[in-house]
Amino acid sequence: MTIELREPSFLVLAALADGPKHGYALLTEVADLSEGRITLKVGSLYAIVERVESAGLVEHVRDEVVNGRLRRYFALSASGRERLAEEATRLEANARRARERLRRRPATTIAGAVTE
Amino acid sequence: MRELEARYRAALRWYPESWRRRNADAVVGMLLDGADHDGRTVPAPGELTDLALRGLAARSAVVLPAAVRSGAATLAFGYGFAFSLVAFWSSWWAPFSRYRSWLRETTPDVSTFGPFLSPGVVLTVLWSAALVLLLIGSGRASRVVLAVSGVVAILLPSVNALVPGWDGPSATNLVFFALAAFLAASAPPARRALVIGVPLWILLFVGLYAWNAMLTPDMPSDRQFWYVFAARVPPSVLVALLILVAIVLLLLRRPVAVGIVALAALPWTAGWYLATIRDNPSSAAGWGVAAGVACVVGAVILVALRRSGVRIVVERPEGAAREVR
Repeated sequence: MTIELREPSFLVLAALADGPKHGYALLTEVADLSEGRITLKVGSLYAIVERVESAGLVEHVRDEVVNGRLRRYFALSASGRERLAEEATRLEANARRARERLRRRPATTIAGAVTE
Repeated sequence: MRELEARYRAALRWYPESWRRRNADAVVGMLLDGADHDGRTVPAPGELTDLALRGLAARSAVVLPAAVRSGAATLAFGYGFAFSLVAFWSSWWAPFSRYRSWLRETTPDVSTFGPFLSPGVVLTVLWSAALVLLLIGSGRASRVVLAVSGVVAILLPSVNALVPGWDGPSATNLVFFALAAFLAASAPPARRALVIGVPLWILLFVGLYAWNAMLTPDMPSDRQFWYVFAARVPPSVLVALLILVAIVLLLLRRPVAVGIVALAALPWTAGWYLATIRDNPSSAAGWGVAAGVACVVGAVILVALRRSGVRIVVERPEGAAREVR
């Protein structure tokens, strides 16, 4: 199943790119990766994780109990890694095209002005 | 901290029980980690609201799984667009109707909508825009436009009340289009199925209209589909057909398809019922009885299938639930 990757989902996948993480670590990673722009609530993060997990992009790898609290670890699956790379390439291409367009900005012309 | 944990666990009651069994401990762990990090002893602002909203969404996903909603949205998108197109051609614009100009001359007190006969054309424009947006990859914008189309269908009668004599779409059509629009907007449709389905829906409607000389009617009428077909096919036959489809799908072990058909049939059922009340009130009671019988028959079939060993699962089976590893 192919799902639409909006920015929070993209950031969740990116946060898992360098190894498995538990839920709270994912929350802080997403905030760091977005430079504080996106701070997800726990319920929202878990909904995103469930969505990308059901699409096969993320896998639940293990559970640990630390100080009496359950920590659930998630990892990027092979198809998740592939999808993240594709999405990053697409975003890079979009950014490159946008920068090219910005460089091509025409000189400001004033209507009625006489040019010699 | 125990008090905070109790508050979080209470907030998780918004989620379905099966979800809580699988995930509550992990989510409470995350919430308490966050509270420790922030040095809080009370939930963070917005945290409980977020849990309530996500919990309700999880509950609705259990009642109507994503596959059911998406399938029904795909069907509703297809038939809604095609029906708006034939309504536009045969009644809201009706460019080749023999008495179109006569109609406008003899009823000058009835305001038309520019070159069109009815403001229903706005619905066709919105359904078409939604389809174009979906095809160019703007799925989210497409669903917003569909929702707007549903709101427009609801608001059109109010505009009709403000503009005296404005011959807007009938209540039957407005209810049908509002329900179809909200259904189509309720979930992302299966794009490929829709691309295949839209031409088929158009063919079906054009075929039905052409067969009944409705494509270029002498007297354009917004309700022609309903008074022709609702009068010809009694509601009890419609209900019997739906039950038959449900039984076949259940025997084929396709419970998700039953949900899709049942949900997608809602706008049609509502339109049919309204048309029956208006055109043939005496059979409206019979319609209600037929619907009641349908529910009873459906329940009996479900129980019988269950007892015969066929298990219908619309939620993730417990065997697939996560285990602590």
